[in-house]
Amino acid sequence: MQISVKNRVILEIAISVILLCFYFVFNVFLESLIEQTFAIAMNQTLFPRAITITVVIMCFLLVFDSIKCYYDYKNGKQSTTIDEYVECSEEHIPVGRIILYLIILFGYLAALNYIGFMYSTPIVMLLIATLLGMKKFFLGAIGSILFTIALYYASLYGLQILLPTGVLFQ
Amino acid sequence: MSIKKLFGSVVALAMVMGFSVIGEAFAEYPVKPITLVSPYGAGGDSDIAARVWAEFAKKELGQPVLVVNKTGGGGLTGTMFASRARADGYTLFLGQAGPCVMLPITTNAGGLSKDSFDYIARFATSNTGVIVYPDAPWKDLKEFQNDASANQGKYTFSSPSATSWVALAFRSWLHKNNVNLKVVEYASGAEAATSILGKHGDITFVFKANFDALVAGDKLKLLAVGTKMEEHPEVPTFNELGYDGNFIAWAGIAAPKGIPADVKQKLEEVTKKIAENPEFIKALENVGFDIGYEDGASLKKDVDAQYVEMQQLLKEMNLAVK
Amino acid sequence: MIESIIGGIISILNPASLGAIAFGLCVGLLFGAIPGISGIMAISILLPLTFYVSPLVGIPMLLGIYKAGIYGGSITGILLNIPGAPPAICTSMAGHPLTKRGQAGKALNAALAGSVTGGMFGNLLLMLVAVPISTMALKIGPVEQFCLILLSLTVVGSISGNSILKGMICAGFGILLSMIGVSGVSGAIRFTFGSDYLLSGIQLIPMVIGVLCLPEIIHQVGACVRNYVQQQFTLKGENGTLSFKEYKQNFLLILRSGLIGSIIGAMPGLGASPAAFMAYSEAQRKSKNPDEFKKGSIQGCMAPEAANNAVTSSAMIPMLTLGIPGDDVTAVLMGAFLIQGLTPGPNIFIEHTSIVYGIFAALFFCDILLFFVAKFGFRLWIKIVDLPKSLIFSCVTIFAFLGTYSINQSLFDIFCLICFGIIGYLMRLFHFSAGALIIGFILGPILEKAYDQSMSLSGGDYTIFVKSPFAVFLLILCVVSVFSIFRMRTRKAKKLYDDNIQLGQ
Repeated sequence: MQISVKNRVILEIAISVILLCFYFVFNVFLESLIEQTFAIAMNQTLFPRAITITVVIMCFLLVFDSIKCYYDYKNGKQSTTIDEYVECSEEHIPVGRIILYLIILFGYLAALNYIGFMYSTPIVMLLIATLLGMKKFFLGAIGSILFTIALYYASLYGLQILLPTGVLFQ
Repeated sequence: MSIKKLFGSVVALAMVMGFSVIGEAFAEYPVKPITLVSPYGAGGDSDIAARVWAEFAKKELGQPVLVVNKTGGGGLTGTMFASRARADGYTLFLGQAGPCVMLPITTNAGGLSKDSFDYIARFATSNTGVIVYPDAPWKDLKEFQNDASANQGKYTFSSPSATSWVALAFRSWLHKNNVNLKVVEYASGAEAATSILGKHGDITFVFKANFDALVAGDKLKLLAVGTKMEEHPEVPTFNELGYDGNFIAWAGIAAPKGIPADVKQKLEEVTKKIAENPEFIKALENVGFDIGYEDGASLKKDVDAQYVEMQQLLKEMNLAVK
Repeated sequence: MIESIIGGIISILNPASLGAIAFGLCVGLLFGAIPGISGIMAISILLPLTFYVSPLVGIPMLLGIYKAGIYGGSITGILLNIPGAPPAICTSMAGHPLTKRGQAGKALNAALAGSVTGGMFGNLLLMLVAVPISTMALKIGPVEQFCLILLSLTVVGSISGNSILKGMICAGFGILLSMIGVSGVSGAIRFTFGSDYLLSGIQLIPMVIGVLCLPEIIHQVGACVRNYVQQQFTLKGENGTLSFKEYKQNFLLILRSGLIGSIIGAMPGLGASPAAFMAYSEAQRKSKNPDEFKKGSIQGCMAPEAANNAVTSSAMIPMLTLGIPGDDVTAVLMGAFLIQGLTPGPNIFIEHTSIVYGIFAALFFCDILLFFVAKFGFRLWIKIVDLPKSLIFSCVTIFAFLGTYSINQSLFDIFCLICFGIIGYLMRLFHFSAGALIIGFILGPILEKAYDQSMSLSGGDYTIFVKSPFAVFLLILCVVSVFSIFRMRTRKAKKLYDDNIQLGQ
């Protein structure tokens, strides 16, 4: 997927508007999210609120900035931002592969929980390596198993951590 | 790979897994490394005492004892984690007054109560002291009390973290003796001591480890201590000045509730043995702690008593939620 | 004092001590380079070893780990654009573009030169003026600290890329993220939405790896054009080494950065990352073509590395002279001292003079040996970077998970890691600065604490910020810093305008 300059400019406006709304709403609900546990003279909401309001102002300015960029683009004016967008429009973003990688990561997290480090890591390593273009499957399988075992013992005796052993096995 | 080979390796794997599970059930505790959870930062005063204990316990138990720092939330994170860990004896907790007594009283977060932990043994105690800048006009705590009562709100107390036992103990002293000070919160005893050195605060109350070297170097002055110190015999204790209460900090080994009785007994025996080892005593003294062995039952009684006392104090100060 | 210094040097010049230093350096380099695993882990694990050996063997080993751990992060940062530790972010921003241009060797050598020189400068300062500096550092109260952090935050302007607004939004987001959980100072529970997992707050490491390392891996997953990270990089010649001339040209820059690092390190509580960021920002400001910085420059490699290595030496100042550890690493180091029976504090210089000067000498040897150990390591790193991309990045992913898990043994941290990876990739796509987010996250708690304390001291009166002369000085520096960043940008825009006019003619 490629993002053309026109789409990019519109996307930037959308992002800045979303950010503005998010922080605005956050500001409104700020107090309810803070709970005092100790009776201290300090007002605990002052500092977070100051930061949130500053960010809201910044988002506001960003919205203006991105709209200005849109008009610059329509009128063909040059600016560093537009040049940047032109450069980025050449970039090809393979959405499918990226989503696949993220699914593998979440899967790894679940696998660590249910079947533990020893069994899930070689599988995950193989999957990621294949995604990145590995061809020598058999060599990769052996390598990843050895690597996993090495890491397990290195972390046990070196880092002194017990890696997850999987809920299903306990 | 053929189906037969695949089947064979799966069976082999299953057998290995099966044996390891059975093996664990029959061997004597401990069969794998033990984790000791320390709720404060690495190198902080009680943390070092824990590492010393771990090092000596390792020799007796035959398995490594790993001190793990689970920091955050003023001690809340580590305490919560330890209280919810599996009570099989492989996760222990470094018990102190702050996480075991103060946290359950002052917050409902994490579902903590005074019965969240089983107490195995106490192995160290620490003296505490009230410190001020050397050229301050007070000779001892009594003089400070008189001065501060006459000038309410003039002086500043550098609080060594809102959730710590030392901070709350001192604030209860202030409350009982009708002294009002400005309270500025710092993140630890070390920071509070630094603030006195830099004259950003007037008075604070911290562990011995935080003031020892500085008082010896004449950078700070002691107004009162929890128990008499050999190095500074002229400094009065709280009790000598007429303030009653217990101002000694303690450190012990605890475990999540429900630890098996034989495991508890083994750990208690190990701690008792270590506590008689002169090297251990010396190592503890090097880091500012004193040896103070107490078995699990007595420790539990002490903790319960401290809980009741603190609860009363904190209720009067409107800080208790239980 | 000269006799003490010479005595110190002699006491370190023995095989056991030097061997311990070399061992520590190797361990530190390894731990520092691997993203997610850091020097402090190695120090905590090897700490018990120091019980059994003399202080002049055990403590230099830990110091070696500390120094090499801070430097090590820059190696993977420059080569793979995956910084091994937060202080190396700026180094990788300046160094990785050089790698893409085939000048990886030059960048690595520049970072090493900066590191060693800056470290030596910090050591000198420690040895000569430790006591006066510590007295000065004590004068930094909450008010001055607040102004200092504000000054540090102005660097966001330098690292934000084209849009300062986006950078500031990221920094603000970072500060808000740092407030999640229980406040260590006031005990208030914030932004947890009732979840017990969030009660402990967001850990730094999952966030840093998520926002810096994972996006690079995701990017590589996508750009599967070449199978190798880059063409073989050389350690010889123009592109592979740092010429003495280049070193001389930038010597003053390195000293300035070392000074910044030493000052920030001497003040308890700040750490190596703010020092690295400030040095980078300073270098960029003073550079003749600030634009080149983004495209890769050796100044950008040298300055942050000089600063963060200088921090390691000067962080020892408050620890040794007052017994007050400035950050978690010095806290563990202090534990090592205590266990040996050496009580840090004002008396340590008198009671244990020979050991203290031995340790100063050890710091010098750490830097000297670091130079050789790292150089040797470069040859190893070439071999590793030559491996196929599929191997490297799948290993890095596993390391990222391992490093995250090793902090709290919590699977929730890993969940945070992945979430931040997604956020980081989106940020990278739309040019929101990851560095700004991290700086906000690191400095947020310190800023808030300083603010709360100042307000407690003054009873709510804002004029306390202008009552202290040092605070006023720092505030003026803030204004100057903001001003010159703006000037730098308008200069850039004007240059572009002029270029366009010329092209049009």
